[in-house]
Amino acid sequence: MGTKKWLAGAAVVVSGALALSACTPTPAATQSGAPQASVATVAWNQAFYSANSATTFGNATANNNILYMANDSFNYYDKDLKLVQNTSFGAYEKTSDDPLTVKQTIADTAMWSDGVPVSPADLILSYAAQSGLWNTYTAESDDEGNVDENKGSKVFFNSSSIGYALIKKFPTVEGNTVTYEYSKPYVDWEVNLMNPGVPAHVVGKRALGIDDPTEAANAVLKAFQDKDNASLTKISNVWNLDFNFKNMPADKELVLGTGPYTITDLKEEQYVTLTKNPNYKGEHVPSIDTITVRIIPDPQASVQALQNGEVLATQPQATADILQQMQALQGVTVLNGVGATFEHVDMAQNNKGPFDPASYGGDADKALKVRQAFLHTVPRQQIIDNIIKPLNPDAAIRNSLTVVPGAPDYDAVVAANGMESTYGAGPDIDTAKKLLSEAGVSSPKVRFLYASNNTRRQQEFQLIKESAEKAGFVIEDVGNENWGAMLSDTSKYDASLFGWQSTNTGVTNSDANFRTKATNNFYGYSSKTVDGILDQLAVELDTAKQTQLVGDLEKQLVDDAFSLSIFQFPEPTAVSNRLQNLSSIQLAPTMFWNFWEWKLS
Amino acid sequence: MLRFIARRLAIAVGLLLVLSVLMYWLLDIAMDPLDDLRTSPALNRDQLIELRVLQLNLDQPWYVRYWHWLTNCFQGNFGTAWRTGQSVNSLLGGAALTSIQLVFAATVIALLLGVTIGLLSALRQYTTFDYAITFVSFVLYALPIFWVAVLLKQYLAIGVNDYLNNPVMNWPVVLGISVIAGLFWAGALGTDLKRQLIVFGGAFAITLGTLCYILLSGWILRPQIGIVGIAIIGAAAAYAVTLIFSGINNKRALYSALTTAVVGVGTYVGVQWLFYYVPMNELWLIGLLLVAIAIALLIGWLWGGPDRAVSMRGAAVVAVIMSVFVYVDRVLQGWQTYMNMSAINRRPIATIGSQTPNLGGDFWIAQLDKWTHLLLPTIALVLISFAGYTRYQRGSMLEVMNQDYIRTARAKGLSERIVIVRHALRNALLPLASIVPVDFITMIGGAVITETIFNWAGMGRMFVTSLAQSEPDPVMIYIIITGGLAMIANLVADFLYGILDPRIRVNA
Repeated sequence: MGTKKWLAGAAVVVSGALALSACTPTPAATQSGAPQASVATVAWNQAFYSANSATTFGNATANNNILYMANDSFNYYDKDLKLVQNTSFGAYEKTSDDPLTVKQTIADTAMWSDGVPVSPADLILSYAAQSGLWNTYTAESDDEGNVDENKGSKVFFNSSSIGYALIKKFPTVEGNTVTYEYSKPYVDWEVNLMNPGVPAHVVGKRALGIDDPTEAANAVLKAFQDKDNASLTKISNVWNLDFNFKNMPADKELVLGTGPYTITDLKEEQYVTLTKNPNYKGEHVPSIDTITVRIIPDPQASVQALQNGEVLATQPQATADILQQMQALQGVTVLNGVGATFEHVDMAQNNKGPFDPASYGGDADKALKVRQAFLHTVPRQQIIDNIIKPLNPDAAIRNSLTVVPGAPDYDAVVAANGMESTYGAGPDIDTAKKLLSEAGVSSPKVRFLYASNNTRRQQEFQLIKESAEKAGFVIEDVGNENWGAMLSDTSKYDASLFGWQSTNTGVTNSDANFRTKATNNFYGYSSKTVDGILDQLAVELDTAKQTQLVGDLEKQLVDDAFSLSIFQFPEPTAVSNRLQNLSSIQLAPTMFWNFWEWKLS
Repeated sequence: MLRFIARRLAIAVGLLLVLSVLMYWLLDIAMDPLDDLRTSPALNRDQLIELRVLQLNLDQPWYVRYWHWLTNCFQGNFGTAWRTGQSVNSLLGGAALTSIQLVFAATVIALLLGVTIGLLSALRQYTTFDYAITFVSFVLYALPIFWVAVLLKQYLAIGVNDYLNNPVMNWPVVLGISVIAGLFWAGALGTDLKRQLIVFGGAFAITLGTLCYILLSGWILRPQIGIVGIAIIGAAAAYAVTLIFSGINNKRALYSALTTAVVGVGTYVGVQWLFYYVPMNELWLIGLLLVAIAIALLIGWLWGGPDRAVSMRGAAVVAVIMSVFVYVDRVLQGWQTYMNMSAINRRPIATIGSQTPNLGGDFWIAQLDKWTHLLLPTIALVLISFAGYTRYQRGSMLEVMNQDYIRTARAKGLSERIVIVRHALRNALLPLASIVPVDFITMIGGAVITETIFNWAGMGRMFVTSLAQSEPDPVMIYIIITGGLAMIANLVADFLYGILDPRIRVNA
């Protein structure tokens, strides 16, 4: 074939093709005309897995954040960690101090997303399940550790709550009001209000087969009231097992909520979508139609996703590198902030080590001086300047063992406890040397426990070690990856460095750390004064007096050189300028706390 | 033969059992399910610990728990990821599917590229081209994937998305790419300096022209192939396939390939209407592909001649190539709609995940979305695994080319094409048959880092998360599956070897 033939052939093909292309359809430009829903996508590092966050395993930030947006409650934390009443959901008041009696009234505007009004049965279900008072036995778990279905008339709700367990008498239900009485005074009643968890009418339907919502809810209420163990077994099974899912359940009733948004899509390890709840009548009406929480465990990936506009906000586990990257992004604001965990140094007083009076023939004063000397060597400001400031330029020393900085009573407690005046920025090597020589102890050997797989703690350990050795201590590195398991065994270490996490502003949280032989007091610390103050604190309902007692408590702890707090964990948040009004508080739900005020620009 | 399979399978099962016992024991030593509770400030901590000990049977020795786990497994119940209360059976399904999606395309592309480039490199042994390929493949081999992934995201996702929103020509990059393309083709095709210069000039000009057209004409903003593009691709495919498989002088093969191309262009119109009226799904697509192959085989058969099989094979390959491009064309038709969706916000290339949440749109939009998410992880995986294939292919090709029968083939006057394609390449592919199945399985289990960085919830992620959260059941099933698959892959490799190379007997 010659060239001409080829050209002619090509011409025929091309012109034919062009002619043919005229008769192909154009795909419909879908949705170009219709207004599209406004979407705000934010990143979180762990996937949602249970719509019932009241079980022992469902109680995780990943669930709580989502459920916080999908459910309203009687109160919530504001920017200053003050509890604010949400009257559009309901009202509560303390009607009596002795016995402590609380009255909660559900507002008419409180409604589940299927249009069923929130009823006292919802509150009772949530309370009764968590109180553990209805459990008739501890669960048989099956072979691979799954809580088995309860059989026969055995009742087990897989949950445990101190506060609810104190409400021994069955609450009085009148119309939309629930009144209940604590068997002994419980100071944290306000963070322990009854809030609806999973909907009683759905639990009733699934457990007892009653389709009518009102009847189903009442049947649940009645089962608890009458201790009807046959029904409660079924109810506890539904409560324990039915609400755990990572993908959107076929049965939409499992994702009902009372809040401004409802869960409308859920994809395992990928995202959760929350869409405006059309049945929401409360006051937290959001301006954004849809919030999507994408699950991005890798901090680097979440920062690049933010840069690429795939997410509008992220709160990654920050390192200095990640923070630098976030600060370099255009159109992104980095909010410096702190999280709920604080770092501190503890010393064992029950292991015949350098801090135990038993090593000095029971001379408590000698041991106290050695402890004080050791705490004086902790270079608190240096740790913050070298390790924390790069992550949070606003970082400051935390001077309280119980109160979160920024909480309403932090300043008062710090003023009272004397930690700042005693230890200040640290280290004070001269004072430490003086205390050691007063005690007549030379070069005490301290075995120091920390998380050896955590770089930040390694660095802190180095700083503490250098400083303490200047004062004459001999520091032995017993850092371990299994430090958590070793904490309760003080024969392995003399001093430890780790973090406690606060989950709410309740004052009884400190009980477990300081009381004689309490679960988190690994160190054999025992002070009659402290125990006495804790007893008073547990029953003191007046907040001003509470603050005073907490101050006294900490004063005693500081005087006894029990522990030294260092800093609050840094937790920067990066937000695209397209998303406005987002900020973060120290306690859960961190950056989600005011989601209804978020705006897209 | 049966005895051989039975013996291998029995050994495999035994090995798996030993593996599972050992792993369970090691996991029991390594994991501390009470870790988080030990540092919990909760007042009811002791009670929580008690609940968990009960829940996980921690009061029983590990071998008792292992036995329970094993008996449950035999009944098809793989246990629970206890921290989230999810059944492992349901976790496994999603994770395995995601991993296969991620790895499949990457393995196929890496294999095709690796074999081709390794072959070229072997044919041009000890030339600058060969050294350059060797250098590049070793560099790629040595690259850490987490770093490649971050760079890819920065330039191919964020950079490209920025460009799409503000198209400013970056001349140095365009010229650089053109020069590299020119050098590559000059090295691959050129034999002497004159020819190399011609090839370089041609390749440089074609690449530069194409890039300029793509970028300057706005094609990149509304990419499409169209019927003209399909026609050109079809014709080119017909020639290329004939050239490689049967030689351009085999007129029947050429005509059957060309006929297939013409029929393909003709059906393009009909297929568009089909896509327009019938909502598609994956099954439809596979069906259409099979129909296309059947028609091509028929065309090859009809052209007939003494070696029908050659014509039919060529035509079928052309049909596959055209089908792929018709698919790509249809997917690209949704580009504008996709770009303007609010969930995309004119930033189409994704850095994380396997799909855009709440996207909406039809099957084709979903396909496009899948590709924009697959793009980066696939490139990352290809870059790294292709290097290995190149080396293997180069080595085995060189070995084969030096054998006596190749010299014989040349001596009896066979064309170089037949010597390479028919005599050398087939034998040189043998070693790959034993590598690829194993590699594929390793990638399914081992794309942990890629999955983490690109945020794909695959098998690797499931393994790492469960390990970190002290959940033995998902970790065990991961180990059993990857271990089992590795054994099966080895078995398959052995068989492939036996089938491909009659000299090797599969002996019991």
